[in-house]
Amino acid sequence: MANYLPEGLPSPAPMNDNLDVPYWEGTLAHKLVIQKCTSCNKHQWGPEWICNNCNSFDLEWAEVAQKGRIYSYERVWHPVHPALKDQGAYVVVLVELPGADNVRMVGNLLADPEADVPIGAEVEAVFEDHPGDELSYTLVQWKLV
Amino acid sequence: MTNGTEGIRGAAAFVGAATDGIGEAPGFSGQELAIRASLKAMQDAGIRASDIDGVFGALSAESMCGVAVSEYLGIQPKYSNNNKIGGSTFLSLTHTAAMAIKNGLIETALIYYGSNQRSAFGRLAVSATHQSDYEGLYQPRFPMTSYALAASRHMHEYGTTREQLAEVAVAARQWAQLNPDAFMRDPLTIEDVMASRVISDPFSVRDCCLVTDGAGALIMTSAERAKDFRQKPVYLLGAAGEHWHKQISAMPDLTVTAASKSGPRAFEMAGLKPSDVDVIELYDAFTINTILFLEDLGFCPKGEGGRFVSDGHIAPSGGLPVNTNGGGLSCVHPGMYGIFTLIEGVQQLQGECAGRQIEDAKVALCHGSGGVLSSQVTNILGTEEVL
Repeated sequence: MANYLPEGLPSPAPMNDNLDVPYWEGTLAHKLVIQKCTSCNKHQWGPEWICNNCNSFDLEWAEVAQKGRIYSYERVWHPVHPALKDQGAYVVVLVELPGADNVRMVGNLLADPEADVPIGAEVEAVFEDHPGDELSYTLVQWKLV
Repeated sequence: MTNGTEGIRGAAAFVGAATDGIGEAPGFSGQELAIRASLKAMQDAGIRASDIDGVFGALSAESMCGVAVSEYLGIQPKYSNNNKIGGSTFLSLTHTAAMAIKNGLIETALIYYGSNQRSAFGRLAVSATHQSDYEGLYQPRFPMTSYALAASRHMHEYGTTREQLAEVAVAARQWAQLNPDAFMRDPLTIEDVMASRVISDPFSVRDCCLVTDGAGALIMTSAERAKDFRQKPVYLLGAAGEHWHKQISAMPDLTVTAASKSGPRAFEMAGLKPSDVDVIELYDAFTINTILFLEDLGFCPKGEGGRFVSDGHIAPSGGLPVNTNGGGLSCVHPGMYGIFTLIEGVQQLQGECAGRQIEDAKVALCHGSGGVLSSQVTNILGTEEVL
């Protein structure tokens, strides 16, 4: 399957402190793994050393359901990165995860980029692999159920 | 428990205000433009640098701007503050300055800002590095993506239309046409806005703020001293701020900003209500901002903002004057627009706005937004009649 956006865009840069390694390892294995606080049981996104809800440092990584719903979207017609010069429109969605305290993740919607985007519709994760010599990584994308 | 700050109501007043380099000002750094605006504000107030003992401001490019600007102007302040909560910073700084004046820590404050982003970069001087990999890898168009997400959600929940967003841009342009300093003054129709180049649905280029140079400065002093100044004093009657998130994915509800908290607290301190306001100055980085803030500040119910701005209601011919200088959409937007809401509010209450003057204006509401709808700060200003 072709990637949603063209070659030549930046790759993820792992955080200096390796805090987010479990997330990226999860995506490589096609699992959605985000942080969950062991004190208050709240999920949070993105990775932090501290729970934004109760300030506990005791966060674990938990696999969550790969289902979400579209909270909002933007259709980009005029991107900045040179690699997107001939791309045309593409869709960025903000996806809410009902199975994980409704945390929201940014992603692209794998659909006709000019089609209507139904806010509230259910989506499921699609794992977009980017194999490389030095760095292999996988992006979490979304498609309508 | 009270909110603890009603003691600053009317304790301090603006006695000078000025802008410099609105639009294009090639050859000057942001700091130099801020210095030029500061000198003009001091002249407007009829004071010298040695009369200032508190310095408040922000520059995008200079993290230690407080000491830099003070040295440049020869000010030896007893108190400096250059907090960084984005474009609402200046409305937070006036709040702090009024507290420092009320407590006798300082007597007279300079509040400044300047940016040369248009001449230096030709684009918004906010860096895309604000984004984490968890957002940036999907190539949202920063910073408008956050506002586009908010607009899409508002349209979904409340039926707000593309035309209603365009109404905001058209009203701002009609005000700009009455302001000789405004950067874009050509006629603009709803059809023009909707036919202009689409940047990020639902926004076209005319839904997005300008990229200009520009600087502004204000002088604030104690209410007691303000009576001796040559300018008509404009009192700070209410001030309040709040923020809930940094990244847009952490904003609790994309259709409700923290202005829904800052507004009521500012009104409470001022002892006023939305219907008492004669002129409204909102940080309109994008057309959805004006709609969100009119709702959150209590000028119309939540969800009604789109219908509220329709039929030219906030335009010069309408019922409610909003963004009378032309706003960030048509007058000036050097990156952190907040200070210009205050300058226009002060000058309206001083009766200095010539062709766009709101007759007999006594109360102005100025509202700043920082980050991506993140930090919200409201100031309510009034003339001596409402003190």
